[in-house]
Parts: sequence; C-alpha cells; structure tokens
Amino acid sequence: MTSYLSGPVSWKAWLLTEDHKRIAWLYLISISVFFVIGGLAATLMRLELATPAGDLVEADIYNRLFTLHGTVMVWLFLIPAIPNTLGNFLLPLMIGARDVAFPRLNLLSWYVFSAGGLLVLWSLLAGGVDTGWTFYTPYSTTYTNSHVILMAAGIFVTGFSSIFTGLNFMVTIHKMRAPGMTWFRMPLFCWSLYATSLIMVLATPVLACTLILIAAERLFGVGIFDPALGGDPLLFQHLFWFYSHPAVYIMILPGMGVVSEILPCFAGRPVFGYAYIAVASLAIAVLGFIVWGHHMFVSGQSLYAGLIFSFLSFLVAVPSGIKVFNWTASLYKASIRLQTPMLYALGFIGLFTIGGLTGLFLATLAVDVHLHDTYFVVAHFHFIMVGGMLMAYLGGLHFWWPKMTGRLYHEGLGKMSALLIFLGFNLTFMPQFLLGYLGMPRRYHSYPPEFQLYNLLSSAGATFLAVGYLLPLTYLTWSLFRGTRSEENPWDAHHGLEWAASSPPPAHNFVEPPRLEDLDWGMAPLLTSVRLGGAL
Amino acid sequence: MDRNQQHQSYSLGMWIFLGSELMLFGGLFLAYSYGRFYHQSEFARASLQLEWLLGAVNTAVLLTSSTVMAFAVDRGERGDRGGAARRLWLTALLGLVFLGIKGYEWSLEHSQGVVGERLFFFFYFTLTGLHAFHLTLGVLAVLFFAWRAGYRSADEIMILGLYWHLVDLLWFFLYPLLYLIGTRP
Ligand code: HEM
Ligand SMILES: [Cu+2]
Repeated sequence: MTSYLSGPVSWKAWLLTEDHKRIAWLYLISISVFFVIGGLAATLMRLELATPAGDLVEADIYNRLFTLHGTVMVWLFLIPAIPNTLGNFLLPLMIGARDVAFPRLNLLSWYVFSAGGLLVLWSLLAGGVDTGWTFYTPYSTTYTNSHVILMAAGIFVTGFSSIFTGLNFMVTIHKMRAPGMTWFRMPLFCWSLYATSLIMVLATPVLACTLILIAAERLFGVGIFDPALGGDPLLFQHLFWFYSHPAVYIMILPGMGVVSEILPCFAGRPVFGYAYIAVASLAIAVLGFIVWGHHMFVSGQSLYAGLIFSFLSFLVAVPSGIKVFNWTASLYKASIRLQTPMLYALGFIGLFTIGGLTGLFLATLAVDVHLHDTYFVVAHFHFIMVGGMLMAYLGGLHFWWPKMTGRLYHEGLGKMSALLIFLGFNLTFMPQFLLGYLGMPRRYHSYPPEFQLYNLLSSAGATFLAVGYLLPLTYLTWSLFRGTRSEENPWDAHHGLEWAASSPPPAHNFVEPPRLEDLDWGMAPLLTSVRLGGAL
Repeated sequence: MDRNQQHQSYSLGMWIFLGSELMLFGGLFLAYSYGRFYHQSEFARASLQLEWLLGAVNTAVLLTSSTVMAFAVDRGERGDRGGAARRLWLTALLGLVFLGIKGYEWSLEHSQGVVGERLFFFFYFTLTGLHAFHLTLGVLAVLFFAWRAGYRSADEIMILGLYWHLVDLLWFFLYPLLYLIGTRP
C-alpha cells in the first residue's frame, strides 16, 4: 500500500494536488513561514520594550511592527492554523471519507491564501502599515500615509480562502460521513470544525465589505467613516467587530476540538459529557455573533447597548465554561499518561481558563473603562490565542505527527519544549496583566520607568518562548527524515477512525470505505469498542 | 462519491455560498442605511437623478428572467433537455437585456454627470456594479448550461437557478433603496 507521501513527488504533483492530506502540508508550510515572520516582529517589539526609553526603534517603526505582528498572526497564522492543516488532514479521515466534498476548491483555497499572503508581504516591503491590525478609522482612511490599501487587499483575498474552506468543511460534514457515522458519533474535533466553518462562512464576507469601504474612503474620499467627511467611525467599529469577535472564535474553537481529542486518549477514557461539548461548540459560534459591542464600551455607543453587550458577553462564556468543566471531569480517576500532546492539552486548559475569565473582567462595563486599551487586554487575548490556540496547535501537531509523517519525534525533547513553552508563556504574559492593571497603555514604544520590572520579565519570558518554538521546529523537521517509523496507532488511542488508517495513510485514506453501522458503539459515541484495523 | 451525493453536496454548497453573499451585501446595506440616516434629504435628492423608469423596466426584465429560469428548472426535472435549453437561452438573453439597459444608464450618468451627494452615488455605483458583476457571472454560467444542456442534469440546473434567483432578489432590494427614495413632483 503506497502512502499519500510516496505517490508522485514532483513539484507539479505537490502544487496541483487535490489530496486533502497534501494540501494540509501546503498550508502547514505557508503558515509556518508566516509564523516566523510574525514572531520576528514580536521579538523586535519585546527587545524595544526591555527598556523604558524608545532606543531600539522609533515610534513610527514600532507602530508598523505591531501592525505587522497582529495582521500576520491573526489572518495568516491563527485563522488557518488548525482548520487548514490538522483540519484538512483529519476531517475526511475522521468521518471515513476519501476526501473533502470539493477537493479542487480546497486547492484553490490554498492558492488564494498564498496570493493574499504575498500581498500582505508586499505591503510590508513597501514600507508597512501603522494602524494596528484593527484599522481604526478615520486614522486608517484619512490620516495615515502607510500602505493600508495594499494590506487590506491582501486580507480581503485571504478572506476568500476562509470562505472556501468553511464551505467545503460544512458540506463535507453534512454529506460525506461514512454510513453509520452519525452526527453524535463524530469526533469532537469535527464538531469544532463545523462550528468554525459556520463563522468563516457568515462573518468573513462582512470583513470583505468593511475592507472595500475603507479602500473606497481612502481612494475617493467618500464620507463613510470619517466624521469630517460626514461619516461615522462607529459604523466602522460595528462592522469590524461584527467580523472580528466571531473571528476570535475561529481562533479558539478548533483548538478546543484538538484538546477534546487528546485528553481522552491520554486519560484512557472517553471524554466526559461528549454531547455537551459538541453542542457547546455550536453555541459558542452562534452566541459569538452577538457580543461584538464589548469592544466598543468606551467608543461612544449608547449605555444601553453597552449593558446588553456586557450581558451577552457573560452568556458566551457559559458554553466555554461547560467545556472546561467537562475536560476537567474527564481527568477524574483516569490513568493519565503525561506525554507531549497531553502536556500541551493540560497547558491549554489552564491558560484558556485564565484567558476566558479575564475576558469576563473586560466584559464588565465599569472595569473595562479602566482596563480598555491597556496591557490587560493584550494579556487577555494572548492567553487565549497563544496560551490556548497555539498550545492546542502544537499539541495536535505532536499528537497526529506520526499519522501525518509515519515517523516518531523525540519524546524527551517534546516534553522539554512543552514545559519550556508553558513556563516561557506565563513569564511573558502574566506580568502584562499587572502592567495593564497598573495603567500601562498598549501600543506605545516607550513607557515610564516604574513599569520596567514587569516589562523586563515579559521580555525575558519571550526569550524562553522563542527557544521553545524553535525546538519543535528543529526536532520535528529532523524526525521527518530520521525519526523511527510509527505504527498505525502509536498512542494506543481507543477512538478515532484516523488511527485505523496506516501511518502515513494511503492516498485514498481507507483500503475499503469504512462501514460503521453494525458496530457496537456502546455508551460513548466514540470508537471505544472498536480496535480499528481489525474491525473494518 | 456517488452522483446523488455529489448533487446534494453541490446544492448545499450553493446554499451556503448564498448565505455568504447575503452577509456581504448585508454589510453594504448597513453602511447605506447609516449614510441615509445621516443625510436623508441629500440621499432623496440624489436619488431623483436616477432614471427610475429604466430601473422599473429592468426590474420587470429580471423578474421575467427568474420566471423563465423556474420553467427551465421544471423542464429539466421532467427530463425535457431541449425545452430546458431553450428556456435557459431566454433567461440569459433577458439577463443580457438587463445588463444592456444598466450599461446605458451608467453611460447616461457618466456623460451628463451626476451632481451632489457623493456618498449616495458611491453606494449606487458600488451596489449596482457588484450586482451587475454577479449577474454577468450568472449569464455566463446560464449560457454555458444552455449550450451543454444535454450534459447537464436537472439538479445542476436547479442549483444554477438558486444563484440566479438570489441575484434577482438582490435587485428587488436595490431598486427601491436606490431609485425610489425621493419624492417626485
Ligand atoms: C470567554 C469569552 C470572552 C470574553 C467575555 C471576552 C471579552 C473581551 C472584551 C470585553 C474585550 C475588549 C477589551 C477592551 O478592548 O477593552 C476583549 C478583547 C479581545 N479579545 Fe476577548 N473575550 C473572550 C474570549 C476571547 C477569545 C476566545 C479570543 C481569541 C481567541 C479573544 C480575543 C480577544 C482579542 C484579540 C481582543 C483584543 C482586540 C483588540 O482590541 O485588538 N477573546 N475580549
Ligand atoms: Cu470580542
């Protein structure tokens, strides 16, 4: 049985592939490049912030750095991170399909993504943008002389890749499940991808329209957002956050899905409250659409709007809470194996909880007046996006690495990096909560000397974090060529059709289409009773 | 993937795509509403400069095209390939008539020049332009289907019909919002 990797290996075969598993690799390589670029910008920022004076870069350069960092990390790394790599690779395998519903659209999605990414890089080489990833008007439309349109065009284009992928995944999940793979037998990762896709399909077009309007106001001076021209800046914020709040859930839901797969495997028991976690994903996706106003508490929206958005934001935390409780309960009396993916998953639970709870602080009207636009907000979302999503991404990558490559990585190095990342992360971002609480505003390149201690700690932590990321980059790449061969199911997973395919899987995933109707699914709707391979 | 599953996939994919489209236009409609809220009388006055009669004719043309499209779908379902093809040709023709009239309007506006309220005319050109872009894609697809009707299944014609009707539907919102908001003497 030849694997999907050992088929035709020419450039052409890879660049024109319609195999979801190879497209996952195309994405993996692209987003890794963008991650490194975004990371370099962060490194420069943390270096600058090690001392109170603005000595390394000027204010203007610093503004361009954080814009670059935010834009690249959000749109070119985090949003595609799990859905387009692990999701692409695993979704068809997990539901017992040969591929996604529209393989060619899947490839197109990657090309569109790359084209958008190149436009963003172009804007960078042309001199960058200094508005922040949020492009607030009227600064972005009237006052800045940086390359807003070019960057907006790049993001506009990548948006289509999100829409294509979301559409593809939704149709795949609806129509391609193997016989017997009912909705409530699907792995939780698939549920999270479904919820993510829903957001991608419905929120991204609003971003597209917002970017068009920005470009129009910049080019033609029509008064849409700029009050001096008769427009309304609040309209921009409504439109932007109508997309961007749901988008933050694009950046966490897939991570939750990954953790819901890793935990039961290394706890040796089915996840607790499967159906609750599944439905909570959908609830988050839906509720996420009606809380955007919590980014605008101090921008002049009405008090009543603020009150309602505050209340709704509390509501959206409930399904997240349900998940955290269920994951934790899954560990109760379990025989836990602390291997690398599990370390990441446990780290995720802790850090996501802190990120989510501080979200509630920010969703409290009176508290937000004090904390808005301070480092507290920066710490809040980094706890979720980096502490949560990035940990989940790395955890998932380690978990499924043997499946994707057919090779094992060095477990000792894996554990060490996971710990290093966890500690480095906390050292980097914990002090930022304190800084924000003490009143240090975000997006400045210099600051009063009394804030130096915490900033120095943060920069030191970032150094550990950087090493922590470089390690997996190295040993994973090394294992690609030298790692020990992996068997089908290296973790002794008790559920998940993907473990039934060989490692790496054949081009068509399963030798025979899996038939699951007659299996005894038992209490848990997962493949506990099936030693896959034999049963199929 | 068997054929039936494939058609179901295409159909669902089209519905999701249409949802996406609605959100795109929805954002623009919201921005339009803001503009109109702040500049009510200017919008009304600017709207009077549009050729409402041509717009009305175009509305009728599109409505007819949708009806014909519905008949084409019906023919397809009955297995009458030739009948479906003839109705598809007619649908495309009506689409082209719409585009012709719209183009004529634009050229009038271009040569005579529209005055005042740039914001209104920005929305006018963006929304009608985006709509015409969608319609052009639709016409091309319908022409292709009409030409190859023998190779197209009833389901595929139905899916194309979905798209056509959405483009049509959008116009029914655009027409009153753009042409009919001023009070004519
Ligand atoms: C548990 C639910 C959550 C609540 C109640 C919440 C609440 C908030 C609030 C109120 C703000 C605005 C703070 C301010 O600007 O003053 C905020 C900012 C932010 N949150 Fe959350 N959040 C939650 C989850 C998340 C998640 C899951 C993510 C990302 C994956 C996220 C990412 C962000 C980002 C990126 C910002 C800052 C945007 C900016 O101004 O640049 N949040 N959050
Ligand atoms: Cu938010």
